Amino acid sequence: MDNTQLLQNDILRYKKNKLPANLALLGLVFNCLYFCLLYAVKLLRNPADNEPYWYASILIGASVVLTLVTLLVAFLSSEGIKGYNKKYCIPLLVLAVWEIVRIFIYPLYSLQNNLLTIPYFWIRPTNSVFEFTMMVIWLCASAACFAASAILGYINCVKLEKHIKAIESGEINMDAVFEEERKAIVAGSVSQAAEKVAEEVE
Amino acid sequence: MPEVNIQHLDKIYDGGVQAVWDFNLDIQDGEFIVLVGPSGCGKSTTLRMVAGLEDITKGELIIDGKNCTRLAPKDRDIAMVFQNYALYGHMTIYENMAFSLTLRKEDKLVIHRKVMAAAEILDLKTQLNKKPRQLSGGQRQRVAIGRAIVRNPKVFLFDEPLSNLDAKLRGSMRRELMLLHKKLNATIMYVTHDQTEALTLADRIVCMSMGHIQQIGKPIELYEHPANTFVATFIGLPPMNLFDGKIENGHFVGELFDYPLNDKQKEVLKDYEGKEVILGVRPENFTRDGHIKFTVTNNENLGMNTLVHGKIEGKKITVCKFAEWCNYKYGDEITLGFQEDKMHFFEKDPEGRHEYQKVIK
Repeated sequence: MDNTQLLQNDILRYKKNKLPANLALLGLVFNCLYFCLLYAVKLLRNPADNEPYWYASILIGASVVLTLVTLLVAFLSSEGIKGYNKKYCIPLLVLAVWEIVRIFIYPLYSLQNNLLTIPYFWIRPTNSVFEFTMMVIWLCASAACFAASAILGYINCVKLEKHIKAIESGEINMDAVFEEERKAIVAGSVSQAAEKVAEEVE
Repeated sequence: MPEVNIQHLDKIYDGGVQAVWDFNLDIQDGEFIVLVGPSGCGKSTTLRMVAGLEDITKGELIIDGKNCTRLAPKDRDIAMVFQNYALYGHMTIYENMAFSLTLRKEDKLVIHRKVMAAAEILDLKTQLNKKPRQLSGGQRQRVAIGRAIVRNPKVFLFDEPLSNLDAKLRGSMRRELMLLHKKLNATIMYVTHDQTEALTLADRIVCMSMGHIQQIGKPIELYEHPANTFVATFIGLPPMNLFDGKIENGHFVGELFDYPLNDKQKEVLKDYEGKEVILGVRPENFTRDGHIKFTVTNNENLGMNTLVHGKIEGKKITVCKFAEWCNYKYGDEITLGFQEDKMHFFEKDPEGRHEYQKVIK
């Protein structure tokens, strides 16, 4: 392993696992957009008697609870993954799957029953295709973010774990890597290593 | 590390108050300069002018041959460490140390190298993931120094960095600063009102009062050869004892005692025959084999030495320092003399202020 790779791994020791954590939060945002649309449903048509009735049943309570649980799990997982806790990848993956499964519950139901929503920002839906499409987009985006968060988080966790193990076993010596920089600081100059990295970056 | 030349620096605030008068100083490469003086003497103002945090009213500041008088602080390539650390509470120690480099958009690998190297130098490697509130005062100050080190500046400026620490920690931090200076060989300007810090840390001390430089020199020079009565009483703890008197027939004739001068002193003071002078004697330069009557009022045993407070001829309050454990009681009488090679004579110019009387060489 070259020094650049070593340094990249070593940075993980002092930085939070921010990208996966932020991806999980982004997934949460998409999920919010989804449920905003879900609760914007104006009325349902009773498939049995083909008469309209207000969307008010025990299902609305269940869906609120479910949404809250989803939000909570997503947020906690985001915080967990930020601290390189590998086990939080599992709820994130479960959430990703759950977001896909959700497509086949309300969105599909609304499509099949031609449900309408109240005006959505500047759009006044005239049929349920718009609603279905938007819900699917939000759910897919949310699922993608959760999945990416879980995968990236897992990769970083494993990378850090291996790096720490290698340091603890004496396989690699980070002090030696920083020695040149330390000498350069002591000498009041920029180290060749730092210059080289800066040149590479340029 | 570069040289710093400060030439005829003046600072006049908007209200017309002049805080610094004609400040001149050449700082050599790798030198540790300490600006010392009482509160309000202009030392911090001078440092802030060097940092660029205060405008320079008059004069020039040249760092490494480059005129920095009107340059913005960021372009002067200097780093300042403050008394209150100025750390970001919501960031980890690593992020605090990396912050200035992140702002400069340096590559994260370069930043990592520098931060880790500085942490190694300052023994902060195990603290990097903590927040500032989890660290002790000394460790926080080390972080503040680390933040300065990673920038690799031309000059380090320290504004009373140890004032927030307790006495014990201040002592250990003082030793760490000395070690750090040796390690880095950095050019440092350091402001303090603590003369112990000044005497122990400095290569040269700049003693200031009322916006004026009173004396510049090595610590031992300021201690043993003070330029005036201000430096004589400011440097040294307890301060030098001063006695008013006259030179008459080879004697120092004071209000309270008469002391015969030796040949060397007579030679130095030959032009002052019949004139008023001030005699200065440090507490540790008293002997107990003289003829001056001294009445003890207080006896402070400090372990390795004893401070004895008392009055000469029942009037002048004086402090003596004896290098052994003494057990004097209130009212005890002893006779004092002086170590003759350690007596200081100052002019007594009736038009000049009493605290700035010049030494007679």
